[in-house]
Amino acid sequence: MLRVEIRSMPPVAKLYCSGRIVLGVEAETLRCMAGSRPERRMVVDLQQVYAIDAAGLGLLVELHCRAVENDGEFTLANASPCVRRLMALTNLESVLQFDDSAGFELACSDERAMTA
Amino acid sequence: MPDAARTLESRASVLDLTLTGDLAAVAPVRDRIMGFIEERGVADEQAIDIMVALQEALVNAVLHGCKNDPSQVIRCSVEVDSDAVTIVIRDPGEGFESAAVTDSSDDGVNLTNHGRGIFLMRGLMDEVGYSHGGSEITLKKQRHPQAA
Repeated sequence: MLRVEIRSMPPVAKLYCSGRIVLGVEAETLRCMAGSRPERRMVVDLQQVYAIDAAGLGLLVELHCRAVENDGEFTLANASPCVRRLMALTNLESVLQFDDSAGFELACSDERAMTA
Repeated sequence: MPDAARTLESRASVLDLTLTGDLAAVAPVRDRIMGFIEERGVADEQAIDIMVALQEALVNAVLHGCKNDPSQVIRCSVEVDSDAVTIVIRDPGEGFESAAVTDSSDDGVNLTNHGRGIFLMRGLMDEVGYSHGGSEITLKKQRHPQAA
């Protein structure tokens, strides 16, 4: 099972995932929810994700590549040691962007920049 | 007990199951096997590794061995003893050349959304072996890994 909660503060959307990201309904749920977001910056918080499989890792790569193609940003936050280990095993740590503090401070910094 | 699986426990530490070649059958069978393993005191950290590898092996058996055909049957055997957890999965497919499978592009990074399953299994389990031309996979995890 995977639950995804979305908080939006344009241009940032943060998706809080809880459960496991595996082939089937779970991966499709995240694909649909992430794909429907109009924000240019997306942060996927993995703090409550306890398992991910090859299909889940492939989905994160897909979202990363889509963001790059659209001149956007895709960041992962708070991945557990277990999930980080799987990413390391598949050489994805060198590709995906990690920032445990990523989130609405990005939007806030934009607002500050705009009002400065 | 999942509808898609027929379970026969022949000994306390051995579980034999069959499942249909249907992705919907994977999760119930995976959870049944993991329940069997965890009931026998396998450490949580090892159990997560086994769960991910098991998921990959079952999905490969369904998608590649059975072509996602529910009329096909996959056989699983799980043995837990004091030293190791051993899982054997046999599908009815023609197999494949495991040595020819690579998971990365030339620069070491796979940027497609597939092709990581075998790499994950090799990284998470202590032994991954193929037999019957690749249609049978054996996954083994030591319960008491030696310190590096």
